[in-house]
Amino acid sequence: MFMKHFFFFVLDVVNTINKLLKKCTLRLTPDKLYFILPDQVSNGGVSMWCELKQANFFDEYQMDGVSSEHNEIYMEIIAENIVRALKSAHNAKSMKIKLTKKQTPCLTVEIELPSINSSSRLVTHDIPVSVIPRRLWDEYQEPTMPEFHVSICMPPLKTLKNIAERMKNLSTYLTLSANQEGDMVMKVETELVTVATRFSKLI
Amino acid sequence: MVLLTQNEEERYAFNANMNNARNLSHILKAIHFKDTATVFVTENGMKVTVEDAKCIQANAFIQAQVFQDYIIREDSITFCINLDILQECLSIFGSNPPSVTAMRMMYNGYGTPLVITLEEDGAVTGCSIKTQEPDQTLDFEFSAANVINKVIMKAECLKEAFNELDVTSEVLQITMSPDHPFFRLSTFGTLGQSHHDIPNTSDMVEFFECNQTQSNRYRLSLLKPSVKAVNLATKVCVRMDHRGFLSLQYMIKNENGQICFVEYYCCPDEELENNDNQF
Repeated sequence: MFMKHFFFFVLDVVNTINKLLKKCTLRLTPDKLYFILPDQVSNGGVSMWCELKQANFFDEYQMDGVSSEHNEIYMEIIAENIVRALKSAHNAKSMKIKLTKKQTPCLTVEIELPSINSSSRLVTHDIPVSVIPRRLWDEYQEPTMPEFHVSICMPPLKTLKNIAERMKNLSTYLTLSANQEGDMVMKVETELVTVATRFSKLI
Repeated sequence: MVLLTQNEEERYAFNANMNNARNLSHILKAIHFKDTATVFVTENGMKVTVEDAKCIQANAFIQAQVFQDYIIREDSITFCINLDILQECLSIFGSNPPSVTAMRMMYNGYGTPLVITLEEDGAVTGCSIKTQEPDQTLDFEFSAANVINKVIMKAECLKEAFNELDVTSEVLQITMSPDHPFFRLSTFGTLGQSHHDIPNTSDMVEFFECNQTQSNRYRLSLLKPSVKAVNLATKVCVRMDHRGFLSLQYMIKNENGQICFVEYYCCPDEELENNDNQF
């Protein structure tokens, strides 16, 4: 079943993943859903670990993992396919997601949409997924947090986004610096211009 | 980037601030069709000029009253600056209402950078933009005394016409006359001729004084940027002088309700200039 904020939240998460990498791993456990982008450190790039409590989003949630000992499912999905399916759920009355076996394993998304008369329309998306065998699960472990030198509370993300977008038009590289007094500076510097934004009291 | 102390700020040859950076960036949008602009600052205010092909010139006037503080320590200051960069800096926090960015602009004279500080919600941005040797700007020698035809109209009616111009036409022909068709915009594109008339009796026209029939052609690609100005304006004044030079003056209101002017000058296209009436 379906709660509205799940939809927008997950759509945002998946849209972001879609911009970074085509594929991502979805891990299901009895309590949680995880969106995992594996460690890209060796190739340069982004890795991501997103953990969501299923109870916050679903009215009903049932799963049977690979075995009773390892009651989890890992599957690889193409982000764009989920984005497309969720787009049609915009005005949905309800939504069901199931793991099914069609010609290949699929994440089947059943969306109940309102229609002009009192009956509902049902839209079904079958998203092919590849189930990840248990022997590969070790590759998807939660990354350990390295010891950090500086920790700050980010300023409003919308402000950061606006600034980053403008700075992107001025230079390819951005310098980010922060200290333990809660100051953070975003700076770009080229032959023609230097722009630096300072935030303070970010502790 | 360090915030300047009170004393340091006082040393600047030009030091002005604005409560809302959009009151400047909004006007500059109306003339932003090239990446370089020449800035002239006097005690009366700031003029920003953009030119192209020695045939078209756009000027934006921001009077001293639009600024909250305005201090200039020389008779006049001139410099050239990259307008793309200036606009990015003025909009650094995003430039959509209701957010308001306060801005201070400082310049210390020849060869120094233009320094701008912007502030919104406690975050402070400092910018230092390299200035360049001021180019000689064209003097179109357009004077009110030589104006033959003049029409003032609400910007809406010109907006529609300008936005729909046939871009396959190399020229825009403007006809102004005491008789029919009074005011006509004509294009000659691959699909045919197109005319857009605004009669002197239209309720969009606020002032109509045409003494002689004039019909001149201007290169459309050069006038196209003035569409930016028409889209932001409330009123437009179209004037043609004895040489067929065109002056388009746009009245633009800022968020404080203050009026700023943007003026485009364009010379007629000599190659295609002819006296046949293409009615």
